[in-house]
Amino acid sequence: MSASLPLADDVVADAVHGSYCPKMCTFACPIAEATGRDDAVPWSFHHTVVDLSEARITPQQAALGLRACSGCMGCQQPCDVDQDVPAQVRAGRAAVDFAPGTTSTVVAHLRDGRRPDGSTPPSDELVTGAPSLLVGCHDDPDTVAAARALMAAAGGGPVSVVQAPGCCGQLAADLGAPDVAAERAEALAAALPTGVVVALDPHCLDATRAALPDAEVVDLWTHLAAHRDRLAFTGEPLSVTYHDPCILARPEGVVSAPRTLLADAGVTVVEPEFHGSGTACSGAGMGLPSVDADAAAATAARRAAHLQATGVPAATACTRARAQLSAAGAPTHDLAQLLSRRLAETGS
Amino acid sequence: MRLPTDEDDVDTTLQDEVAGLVDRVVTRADGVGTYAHDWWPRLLMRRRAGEDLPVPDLVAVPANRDEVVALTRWAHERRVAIVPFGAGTGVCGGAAPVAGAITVDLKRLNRIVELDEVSGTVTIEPGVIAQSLEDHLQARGWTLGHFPSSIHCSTMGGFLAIRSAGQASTGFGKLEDMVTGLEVVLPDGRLYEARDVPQSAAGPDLKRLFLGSEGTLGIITRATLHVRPLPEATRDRGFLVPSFGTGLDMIRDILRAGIAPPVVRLYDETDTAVVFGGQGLEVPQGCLLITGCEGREDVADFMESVVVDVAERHGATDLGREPGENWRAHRHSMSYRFAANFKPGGTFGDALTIDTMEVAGTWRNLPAVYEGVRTALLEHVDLVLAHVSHAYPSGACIYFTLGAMNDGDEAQALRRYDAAWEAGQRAATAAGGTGSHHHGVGLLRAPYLADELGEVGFEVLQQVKAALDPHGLANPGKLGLGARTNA
Repeated sequence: MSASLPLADDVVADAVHGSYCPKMCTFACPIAEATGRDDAVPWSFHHTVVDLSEARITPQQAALGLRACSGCMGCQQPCDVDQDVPAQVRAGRAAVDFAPGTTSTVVAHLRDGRRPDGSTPPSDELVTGAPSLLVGCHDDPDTVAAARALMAAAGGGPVSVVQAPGCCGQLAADLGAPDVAAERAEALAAALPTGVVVALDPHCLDATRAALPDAEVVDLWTHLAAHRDRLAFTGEPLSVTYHDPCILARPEGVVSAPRTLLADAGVTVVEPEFHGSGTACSGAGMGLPSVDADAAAATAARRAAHLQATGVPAATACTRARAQLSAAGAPTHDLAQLLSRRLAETGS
Repeated sequence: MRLPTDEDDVDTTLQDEVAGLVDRVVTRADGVGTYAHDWWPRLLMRRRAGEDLPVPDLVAVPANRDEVVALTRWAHERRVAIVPFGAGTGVCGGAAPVAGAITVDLKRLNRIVELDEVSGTVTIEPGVIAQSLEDHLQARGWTLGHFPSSIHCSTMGGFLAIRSAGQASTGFGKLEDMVTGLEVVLPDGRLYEARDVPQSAAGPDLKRLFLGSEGTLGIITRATLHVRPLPEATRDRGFLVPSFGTGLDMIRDILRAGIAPPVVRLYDETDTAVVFGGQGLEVPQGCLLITGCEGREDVADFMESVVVDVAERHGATDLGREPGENWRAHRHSMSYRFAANFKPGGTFGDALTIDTMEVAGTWRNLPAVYEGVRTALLEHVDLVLAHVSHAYPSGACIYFTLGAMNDGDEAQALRRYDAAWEAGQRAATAAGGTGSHHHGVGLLRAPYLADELGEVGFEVLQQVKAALDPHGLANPGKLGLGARTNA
């Protein structure tokens, strides 16, 4: 699939430490909770990486043992030493020349500059302006249009929409293809201007920051909340339950901005079980739907049940999560679309 | 008939048969290394020494009770042994694989079936992680009141199988005291159900037969437990008592005053020094005693006033709320810090010997149990800490932590480990105590169980085993019942 890389010493050292920890973060892993699978317990990833580093298992066994992670960072919440389990999973995946599920196909698409589903990124949306809205490889045209409208209202002017050339590099890295990730990041850097870059897909934030060290890279919601005095909403009272996307809520710590904007728009948030930094995962991250579709579906079903229990419609700020949750039976609004509809009614 | 142990010779027919019975199987080709050990430190020490631990021949992953029944019935007919496996966090080797046996992973049975808010009970499957259950209950205004230090990682089935105790056991009892209903798949595939009733005098309490049986008499597939409303208020407090003996007297008097604070913890002088020193504080003379009172606000306040009154009468120094609140905030920290100490190149160097040993005795015997076990352990290890953390009307548990540095000599680490356990267990029973309070038996304590139960008692256990499991297929070797294992 991709050239395999040796495991770095620091990755192995972290994995060794984790492999002697008595599985304390088990309760915090939504995939382990949803699937009940031993290979989804974060400790199992440590164990697998250690075994791989000592050649106690085959690459195929390692690849199978490193499937069931969505990179949600739930396991880091209680961890005494802030273990980055997804980083070890990525490194382990990169170290083996074996790809479960449909990983190989997805990586091949990314290598060719296409989206994960093989489609070609649209190229006719470019508008000159600032700041730039970075569109992720999973974002759909309606969401992009809504985000653009919100940003234009918040900024009082045109927005430059930039389509990541297939992938910002993050998904390729997640799937264990660091060479493809590097190529995509280089292409992204060439496509994007410096200045303020607003990422629509929170999964793109890390990779974009790495690709554009001189740019100010922020998520859409932080950007909008910072300019909320320019946003005017209207509409009938509405209640929704908000699913915090893992990447946004945990590593980025963005939990209040979406709620503030919803409140500004007259939308009451009914909190689901597990919210804010304690959010439960939709199973969308780390390419999980490609690597381990069963685990992704089970994780989404568990989260969909939390949202449905509130009795009000769901909304989220991540296209990937929205797709997962909707497929799992919890029709989920896109937050940008929901807000822009209320914006449009004002004529702003 | 047994599954062969050589992976090249694994009978694919048997694998196929198992695959037809349960939701999922995991084969050696898939990778079964994570099932090679539970959290018995002796197995971890062997792994740390570089040993390739035996792995299961096959792991069966049932998705529901009916699949457990089908698998168990098949195993009975085919004479294949089975080893139940929850989270793999037991500390006595109870889930260690057995040569020729199938390991049965029960984590898929992880439904919280029903919270009955009228009766105040919750019905669960065995694979539920204990913290997930507690989170579920607390989100609805309830608590189980079972807070062992491994609550973040262990399954309820594992806790039931070993008769676990939590940090609030002085008020709420051990887990076995919370069980109102139980469902067990017997080794021949029959289903036994102890109906959910608050109490009964309909003959012996058969639930108790299976609680603590560690899978040797069957597999627990469902349990109903009584729960209680979340407390309105919590009042944590710390005291400094002049001596360990005074602290024991004080705990006894607190309970005899007619209250049962959920949390009562007394640290001996060495453990007190570690608690204070570990926070960078000056180490005082005496022993730290922590109490945690809970309930409706006025109840918690009253309970705490009784504790303060008893403390004054015993000459204890009131340290205020901070020590108790600090303990609560870091109540699981020792488990999170285990790896830093235990891993190769850990805090105390390579090849550390470390474990915990929980014993119990009556108030009359407890000082002798403490001195006897402590002295016996110190003959073999460098450091022994002790605290009392589960108190009852007639006695209490003493929880020893033992450690020894071995300068990288893993063989020495194991020798000292084995010698310490042998000496500590013999000392506990010699002083009139029990060698196991809430960690169970597994393989670790199997050699001592006959002493503990007495000759007739152990014969009764063997006869029960023979009646329910005539072919010795249910977790063989654990509790010293049936064939030896390869662990």
